[in-house]
Amino acid sequence: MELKNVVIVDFARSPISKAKDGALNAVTPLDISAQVVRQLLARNAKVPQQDIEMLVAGCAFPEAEAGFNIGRCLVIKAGLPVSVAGITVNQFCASSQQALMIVADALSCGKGEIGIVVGLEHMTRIPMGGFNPFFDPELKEKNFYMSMGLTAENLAKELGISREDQEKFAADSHRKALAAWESGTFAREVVPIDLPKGGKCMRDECPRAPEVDKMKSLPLAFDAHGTITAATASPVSTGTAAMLVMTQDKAKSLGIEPRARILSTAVTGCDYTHMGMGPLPASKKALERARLTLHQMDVIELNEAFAAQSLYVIRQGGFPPDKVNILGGAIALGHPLGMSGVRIVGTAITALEKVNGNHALATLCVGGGQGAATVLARK
Amino acid sequence: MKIEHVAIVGAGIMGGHIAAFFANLGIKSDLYDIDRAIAEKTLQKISDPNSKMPVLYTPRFVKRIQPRLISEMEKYLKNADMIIEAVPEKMEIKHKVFTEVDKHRRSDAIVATNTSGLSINAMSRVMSESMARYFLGTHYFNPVRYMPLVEIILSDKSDPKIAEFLIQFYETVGKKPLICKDTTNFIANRIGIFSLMKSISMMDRYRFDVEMIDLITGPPLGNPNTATLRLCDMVGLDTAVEVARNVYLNCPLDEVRDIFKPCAWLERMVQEKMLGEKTGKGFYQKSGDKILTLDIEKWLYRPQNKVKLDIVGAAKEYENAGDRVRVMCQGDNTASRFCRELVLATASYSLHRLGEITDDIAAIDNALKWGFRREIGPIEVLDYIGLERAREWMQEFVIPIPPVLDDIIAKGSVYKSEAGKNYCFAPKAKDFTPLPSAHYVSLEILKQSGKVVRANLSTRLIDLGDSVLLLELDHKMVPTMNPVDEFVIRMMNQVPQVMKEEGFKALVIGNQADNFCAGAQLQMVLEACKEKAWKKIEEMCFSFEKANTDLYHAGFPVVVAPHGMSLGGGMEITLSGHRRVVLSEFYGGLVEVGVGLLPGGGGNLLLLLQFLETMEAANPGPVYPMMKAFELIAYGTVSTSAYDAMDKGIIRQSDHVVYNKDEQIQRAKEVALGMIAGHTAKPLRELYLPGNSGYLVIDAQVDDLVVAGKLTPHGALIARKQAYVLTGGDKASPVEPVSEEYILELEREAFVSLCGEEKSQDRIAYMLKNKKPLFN
Repeated sequence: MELKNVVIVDFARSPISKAKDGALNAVTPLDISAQVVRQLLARNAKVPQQDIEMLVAGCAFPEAEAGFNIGRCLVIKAGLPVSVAGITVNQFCASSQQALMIVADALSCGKGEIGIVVGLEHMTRIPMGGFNPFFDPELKEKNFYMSMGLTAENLAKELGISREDQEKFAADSHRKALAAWESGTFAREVVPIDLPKGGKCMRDECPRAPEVDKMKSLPLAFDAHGTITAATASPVSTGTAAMLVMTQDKAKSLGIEPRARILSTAVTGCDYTHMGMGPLPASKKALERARLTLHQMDVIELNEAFAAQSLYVIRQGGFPPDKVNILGGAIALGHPLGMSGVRIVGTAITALEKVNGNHALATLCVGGGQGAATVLARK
Repeated sequence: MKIEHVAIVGAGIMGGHIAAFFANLGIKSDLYDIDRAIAEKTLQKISDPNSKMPVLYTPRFVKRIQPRLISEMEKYLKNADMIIEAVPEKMEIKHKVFTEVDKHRRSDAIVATNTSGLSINAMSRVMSESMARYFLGTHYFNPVRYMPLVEIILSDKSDPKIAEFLIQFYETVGKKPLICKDTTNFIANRIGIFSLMKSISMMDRYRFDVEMIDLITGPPLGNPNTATLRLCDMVGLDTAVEVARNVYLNCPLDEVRDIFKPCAWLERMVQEKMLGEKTGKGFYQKSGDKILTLDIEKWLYRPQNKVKLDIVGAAKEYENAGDRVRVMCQGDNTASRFCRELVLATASYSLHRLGEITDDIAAIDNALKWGFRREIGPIEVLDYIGLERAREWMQEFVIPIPPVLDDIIAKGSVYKSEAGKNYCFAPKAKDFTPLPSAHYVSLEILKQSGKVVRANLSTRLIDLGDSVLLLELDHKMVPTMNPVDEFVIRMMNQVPQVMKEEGFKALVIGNQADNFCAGAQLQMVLEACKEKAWKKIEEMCFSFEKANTDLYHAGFPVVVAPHGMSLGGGMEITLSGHRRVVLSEFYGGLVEVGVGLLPGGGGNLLLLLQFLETMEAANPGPVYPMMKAFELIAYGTVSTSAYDAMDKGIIRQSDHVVYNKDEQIQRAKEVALGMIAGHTAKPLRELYLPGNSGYLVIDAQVDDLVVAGKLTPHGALIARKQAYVLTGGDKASPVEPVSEEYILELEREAFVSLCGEEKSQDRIAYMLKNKKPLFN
C-alpha cells in the first residue's frame, strides 16, 4: 500500500484563559471547542464538510462537561454533518498530538481524505485528576502517581538546574509571548470566544511582564528543599485548539494551499519519575523517521510543562535555545493539558511562517512517563 | 415604600461598606463617584477574599454593586428607591451633591446622608420642598457589617413616616436603628469621642504608656480589643481629632468642653501624618511581622512592652462586663484610680447630655453597645458600681455631678427587671418606664414564664408553644461559647423520649447567646487523655454520635438555628438537623484538626451524607462527595457567613438565612411547624465510598504536602486518619457499600487513637491556653 502525504491546511485556537477569574471559566469546554471548530471551518469554506471523515478530540480528563465522548458531541454542536465520526482520545498532555497522529495515519493509509483534530482542556471546570480519582495500590507503591512537580524537581536535581536559571527561562517565555502578541503574530491562530454574558475573550490571559523580584519571593511549590515555584511551572489554564488536516491530493483538488506537511510523528515511554525528559527519545525517533537532524529544524516548539523540565531537555538534547519557543511557551501562554499537543504543532507553523523557515519540531512530555513529537515541513 | 435598588453617592470606604450592606441583603446598588477608579478600588477592597474581616457575605456579591460616574446620575438615579450620600464631611460638597440628586431623583425616592456629625437641618436647607420631606440622616458605623447601629436623624422638614418605614426595614434585616436629635455628632460619636479624648487626656497625668491605656480600656472595661488607641489607629487619628473638634466648636455649653481640644502631642501626630492604619503608623506601627509602639515621650517607635496587671487578671475572671468594670474600679492602685475617673467622667458626661441629645438613657447605652461594640453602656455601668459609690467617686475626682443622678439614686437603679418585664429610668418622668418588649420569641421571657420543660447545667428544654420543643444550649460557665459537654449530650439523648411523652411534634435547637456553640469542652477531653481514660473517651464519642444521628433519623422534624461560632461539636449538632435556619453571621465548620483531632460526634458521617444527598442528582461517583467533605474537615474550614457556608457545602443551599438574630428562634419554629405534616424519618443509608483506592489518592497528596513543607508529619497523620474514615476504611469499595454504623465505628477508633497522640494533646493544651491552634 502506498502511503499518502498528509498536510495541515489550517489551525485555529481559542485564547488561553487563566484559572483565577479567567474569562473562559464561564464557558463549557464543549462550547469553547464548538466555537473554535466553527470559526476554523468558516474560514475554510472551500472544504466540503460531507467529505470530512472524522473529528478526533484529545483531552486529558474527558469527563463531566468534557465527557460523553466529547469528540462526537463536538461534531453535533459545531454543526458538522452527522456522517462525520467523533472520537475522543487520551494520552494526557499528548492527547491532541495523538489525535493528530490518528487522523494523519488514517488519511495516510487511505482511510478518508479530510479530518479535524481538536485539543481541549478546561482545567477549572474539570480539575486535574478528575472528579473520581482512584489509585491502584501496586502502582502507588511503585511511585507511579508521583506529582508532576516532583518529577520536574528530579530533573532539576539531576542536572543541578538552579532556581535562577529557571526564573530567567520563565521570564524569557513571558517576554517572547508578549512580544508575539504586540507584533500581531498570533492574529491568525487565535480566534475570539463569545462569552455567555456578552463580550468576547480575545487574548491569552496568562502572559505578563515578568516581575523579577516578585518571582524571587515566591514560595517553593512542590519541595521545601527544591527549586520550582508557581512562576517556573506552567499555569492551570483553559482552551481549545483545532486543526484542519487532509491528504495532499485532496488539498490540490480543492485548490487549497496547505500550510505544512506532516513528515513524521513518534510516541515513546520513559521513566515516569523523570517524565519531563520524554521529548528527548520522542524527538530522536521522529527526526530519524523524517531523516532529519535537530539542527535542520528552523523552529522547535517544546512544551514548557516546567522551566526545569524544558531546560533539562534543551541541555541534555543539545536543543538550540534560540530556536526553542520563539513565540513564548506554556509557562507564559498556559498549558491546558489536552490542548497543548496540537497547540504546539499549530504554533510551530505560525513560528515557521514568521521566520520563513521550512522545518519544525513540536514535542512534549507526558505525565506517567511518555514523550510525543511531530516533525513538519512547509515545502 | 420599598427598597429594591439603592444609589450610594461617594465611593469611599463608608460608601463601599454601605453598598456592601445592601448587597448582602440581595439589594442591588449603583455606587457613584467622580472617578470610576475610586469605586473600583473600593469594590476590590470590600471583596478581598483573604480579608480577616470580610465586608461582603461572599466576594461574589460584589456583582450586585455597579460603579457609576456622578455624570451618569441623569440616566440611572431614577432607578433608586433610596439614595445615600457618603461624600466627605464638608457642607459645601454635600450641598453640591444634594443639588444634583434633587434634579435626577425619582420623586418618591428616600434621600439620606451618612454624615457622622454635621447638621441634618443645615443640609435640607438647599433642597426642594419635596426632597426635604424625603430626606433624613442614616448614620452607619464602621465596619457596617459588624456594627448594628444606624442612627436615624430627622430634620424639621422630614416626614416621620419615612423614619418609621426605615426603622422597620432596618429591624427586619438585623440592624439596630436609633432615633437621634439633630445635635453635634448625634449620640454614639458624641459620647464615644468623649471617652476616647478623656482617656488620652489622662495619659500624661497617670504616666501611662500606649500599651497600658489599651490594656486597661479594652475588654476589662467592657470594650472590644481595639480599646482606645488601637481604635484611633483604625478610624484614623485625623478623623478622631476632627470629630472631637466638631464638639469643641459647636457645643460651647459643654461643661467639660476642653477635653475635646487635642493636646500638643496629639496635634503633632496629626501634623506628622501619624494617622494610624491609613498612613502606616499611628500609636502603633507595623514593622515586618512585628508591631512597634509609639513612645510619646521620646517620640520614637519601640518594641511593644509586655504589660501585665493583677487587677486585669482578676477582672478577666468575670463573664459579665459590669462585674469586670466594678473590679477594675474598686482597687486601691493607679490603674483603678484611672478607671474610676474615666468611667465616672463618661457616665457624668452621658447623664449631662440627657435632654440635649436624647431623653432616653437606654438610647445612650445602646448607642455605645451597638455602634462601638461595648458590652455595657456608660450609664448602665452605674448599676454595677453602685449609685451612691458612683456619686462619691465623682466628688473625689471633681467630676460635675449631674442633677439627674440624685433622681436615679432615689429610685434605686438605672435599670430593673420585674415579672418578666424590663424597665429603665426615665429622666423626665423621674420614674421607671418599661423598655419596648421583644417583637419575637424571647427565651428570657419564656424561661421567666415557666416554659422550661427540663434543664441541666448546660441545656434547657423549653416549650415554644404549638407543640414545638426547643433544645437551648446555655452553658453555665461559658454562656458566650456554650461548649458541648456531657450534660449537652445527655439532654440530647433524652429529647426523643421527652418529645414522645409530652406530645411535642417538632424540635428546634438554638439559643439567643453570643454564639451557638463553639465546640466540645476541651478541658474535659484533655483531662481524659491525661488519665488515659480511652474507654471513657470512646463512650463519650459513642453517646454524642448517637445523640446526633438519632436526631438525624428522628421521626419528628429537627430544625437547628446556628449563629456566630458554630464549630466542632456545634457544627456536628448543626449537621444533625433536617433543616437549618442560619443567621447570616454564621461561622461554622468542623475545626477539630486545629486541636489534633477529627470530628467525634458523627460529624464525618453527617457531612458525608449531606454531600451525598445534595450531589445525588449529578451522579458524582464515590470520590467527589467524599473529597469535598475531606477538604472541609482536613483544612478546618470555617465559613465567613451563611452564604459562604452554602457555597462551601457546610450547610445546604436549601437552608434558610435570617439577618436578624432576635428573629431566628421564631423563624426556626415556623419552619419546623411547616415541616411536621410532610416529615418522615430518614432511613439508614448504605454508603458507596471509594475505599482503599480512593484513600491512596489522598495518601499521595498528603505525601506531596509533607515534601513541599506545607504539612507537618503529625498533620499528615491526622489527615490520613481522616481520609481512612471518610473513604470508608477497608470495607468500602465502589461496588460494596458500607453502613452508617461502620463509619461511626471508624470515626470513634480514629478519634480515640488521636487522643492518645502526644502531639494532639499538645494541640489541645495550646488551644486552651492561647485560644489559637498549634500546627505542630
